[in-house]
Amino acid sequence: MGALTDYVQFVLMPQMFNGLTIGVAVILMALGLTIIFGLLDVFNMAHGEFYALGAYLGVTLASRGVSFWLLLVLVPLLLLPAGFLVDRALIQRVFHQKERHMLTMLLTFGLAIVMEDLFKAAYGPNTLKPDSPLQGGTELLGNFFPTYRLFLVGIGTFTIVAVWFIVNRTRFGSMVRAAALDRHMAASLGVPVRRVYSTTFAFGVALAGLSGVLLSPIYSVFPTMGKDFILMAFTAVILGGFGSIRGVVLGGLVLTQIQALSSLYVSPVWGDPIVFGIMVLVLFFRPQGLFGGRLGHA
Amino acid sequence: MDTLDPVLPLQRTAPPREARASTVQGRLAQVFIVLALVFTAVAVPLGDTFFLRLGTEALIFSGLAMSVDLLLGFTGMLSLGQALYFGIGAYASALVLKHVTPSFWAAIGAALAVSTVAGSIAALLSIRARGVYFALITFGMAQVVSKVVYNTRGIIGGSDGIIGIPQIQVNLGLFRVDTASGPAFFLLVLALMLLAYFGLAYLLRTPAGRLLVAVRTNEARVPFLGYNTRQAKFLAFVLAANLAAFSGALYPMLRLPGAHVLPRLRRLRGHGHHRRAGDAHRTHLRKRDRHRAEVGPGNLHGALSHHHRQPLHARRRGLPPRPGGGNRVARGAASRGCPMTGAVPILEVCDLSVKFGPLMAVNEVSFAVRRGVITSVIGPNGAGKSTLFNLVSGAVLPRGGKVLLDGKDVTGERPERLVRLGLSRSFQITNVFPELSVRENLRLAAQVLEPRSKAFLPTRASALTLERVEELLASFRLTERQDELAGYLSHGEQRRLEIAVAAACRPKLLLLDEPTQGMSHGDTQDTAALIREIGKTVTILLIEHDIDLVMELSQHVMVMHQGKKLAEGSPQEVRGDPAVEAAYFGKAHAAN
Repeated sequence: MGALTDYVQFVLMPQMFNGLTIGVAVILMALGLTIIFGLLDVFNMAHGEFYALGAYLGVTLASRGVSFWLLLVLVPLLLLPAGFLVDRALIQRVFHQKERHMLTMLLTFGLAIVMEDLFKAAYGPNTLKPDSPLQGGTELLGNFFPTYRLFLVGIGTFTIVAVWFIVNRTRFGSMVRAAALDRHMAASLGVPVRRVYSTTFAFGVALAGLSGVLLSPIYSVFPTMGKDFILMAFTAVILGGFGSIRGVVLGGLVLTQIQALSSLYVSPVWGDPIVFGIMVLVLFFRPQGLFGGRLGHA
Repeated sequence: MDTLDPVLPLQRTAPPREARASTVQGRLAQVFIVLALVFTAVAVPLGDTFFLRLGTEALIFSGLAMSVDLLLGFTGMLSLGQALYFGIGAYASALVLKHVTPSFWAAIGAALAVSTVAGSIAALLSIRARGVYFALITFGMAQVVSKVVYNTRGIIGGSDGIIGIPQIQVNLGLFRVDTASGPAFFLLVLALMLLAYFGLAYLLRTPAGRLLVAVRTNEARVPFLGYNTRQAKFLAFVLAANLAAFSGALYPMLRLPGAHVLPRLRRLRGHGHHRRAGDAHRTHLRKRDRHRAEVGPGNLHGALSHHHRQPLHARRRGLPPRPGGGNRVARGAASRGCPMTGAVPILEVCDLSVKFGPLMAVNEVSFAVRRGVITSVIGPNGAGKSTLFNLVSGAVLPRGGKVLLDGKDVTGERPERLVRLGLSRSFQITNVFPELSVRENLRLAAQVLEPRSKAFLPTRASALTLERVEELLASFRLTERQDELAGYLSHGEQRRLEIAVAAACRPKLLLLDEPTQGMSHGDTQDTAALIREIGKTVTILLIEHDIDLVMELSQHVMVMHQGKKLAEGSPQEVRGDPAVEAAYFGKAHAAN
């Protein structure tokens, strides 16, 4: 009996907590993806690179002496104009063509490759490891948890709730939802649809950047970090049903728990194949996602 | 930017483009070809090793690019993981060269074999998904495999890759090519890539290749021409995997000093970078490059998998219940309402039903179509006529009831099987291949008449098809417009083409869904004459709104209302039926 409670307390709980830490970060990323998809109908393949951009920006600014706490606000703010520009200069160019999905996918995929190379050119191929701003651990329920991770879960949850609030309870959010449901109708009701598009894209990208800053003390910073992470985020979105905020939260949590717990029994090498397997199974048998629904419906 | 609409840019619908008849097109392509020729003419005699190796590498990647073009440009499938097969080819080749035999052909053979197996498995996993979901799966697949390889030591060497691949000599019969020799290996790779290029160009001229183009331009229609789209996509996928692996197999032979195969290698990107990095001459082939293939400018296919959920695909193909009547289908299909006629009718429908949500779109409808008789289905909008057609033609799976074609149970059969059995249909909304010429539309539809053995011969070898196309052009008065893109035809012409495409396969039974929809009076009269003409040889089942036309054309009429059969009989009988009048004019159902 004691062995079992020990197992739960010292093996299962820390592992599930680690899963939760990643889960919150995945959800932040996936939220951006799903909002961009829900509104613009665009699969942003460069989302992972915006996450990396956030992390790199954080590293650079930190080396100039900017405090980590300020970065949490500054980096997303800096990414807003970047996202706005990408939408205006690239995505809107092909947005109105018949093959929108594929063209935007190719475009953002190309952007991802270019960005990754730029990171490499600017920062070199090596891994950078920023110091954790919160050292040490905190005792909770008889376990020691790294304080920074607790902070991450807290601020991540706060952000997720804030996003939900913005989308569902603000004027801007209702314009976004209106434009997602029917952009022509929204336009004729006076919603500045193009601005809403670009702002939403920027908003999604900023969320990815925030995720990058938050995770950089845990996972370090390297040029391919975006590509390594994006599959998770996409799977969370697919699991949750494209465009659904509630779905993406549940999807992200379920996925990261599966990954965290499975790594207790199989080599972590198989973490990615498991995630991918889940994605394929969901696409096969429930393409609308497990908790499906479009932006504005859930 | 846009002057007319300050809020939303106008929908820019691209005019239909001619699907490429050749893989070389456009000025840019020509410029590149000239540059490549100049490069070859200068670099080979000079024997400049560095540039030749760079050139060879470019050629090898062109093979990868061609494989992406085969998928995206021909078939409309966007693969973001094509470099996976490049990697598979490179690993297979490196392993064979190092551990088995230093034979060029063995290496190529291994790459092709492994990529066929891997490509088949991957195709089974991915081609069910469409559009972006297909792209996501291919992306994920490449990502996952490269990570696993990266973390797996042993013979494939994990993150170190495979080191110490021997130089080899390629025995070409007459002479030998040393892979270490810059010019000779360049020329060999050039020859191989040209071979691949012309192979693809040839494929595009065969019925099989044209079918791939048809899948790209209008995938939904292809099954109704009698072809299995899944098979076509599978073929394209495996062929593309083969081509990518073939290019990949050449990669480890590229004698960049100290060459080895790495899981996360990168393409040479200016050696300055490499020298600085201190590993100047390692060839990197990182996983990311696997996605990097240049993508052909082909026309993209925008079908999306959430479009599956359109009614046409609602409860359909690819979902479990399979032919043979399926239990669900057979149950409750006792021949209660089945018409019992003496001679076997060409089409017999018993108690056919389907439900969309709570709506019984077609509710236990039974009727028969006698051979050589033009039968019409009429009814107010929303009566379930088109849904009935969708059930009979295999577009939608019925929930209950039976469909007998020529006395044979074909309930729930796939559309392409039904076409092969002699049942073809046209669509209410013109559903042809707008980016293909009129002639090509008809050729595609008629090539189903040819034996499969001709699938990989040039299209001009299909005599039956060509003869049929001429016939159709003449009888549908499209001869003068034969080279026009279908998307550029007038509405009336498009409607004629729609019927011609449906009739091309010489069906026994032709289902025409509102053939005169949207036509002017004159065009309607012409079409009526045409239908009567076709009706002399083919049994026709017609949906029509133009009552005059129905009375004039058909010998038998069935009236549908709210998913049910309301009345049936000769045109005169139906016309006099009070229930029919009530349905049309909203009178109280006095008769019932």
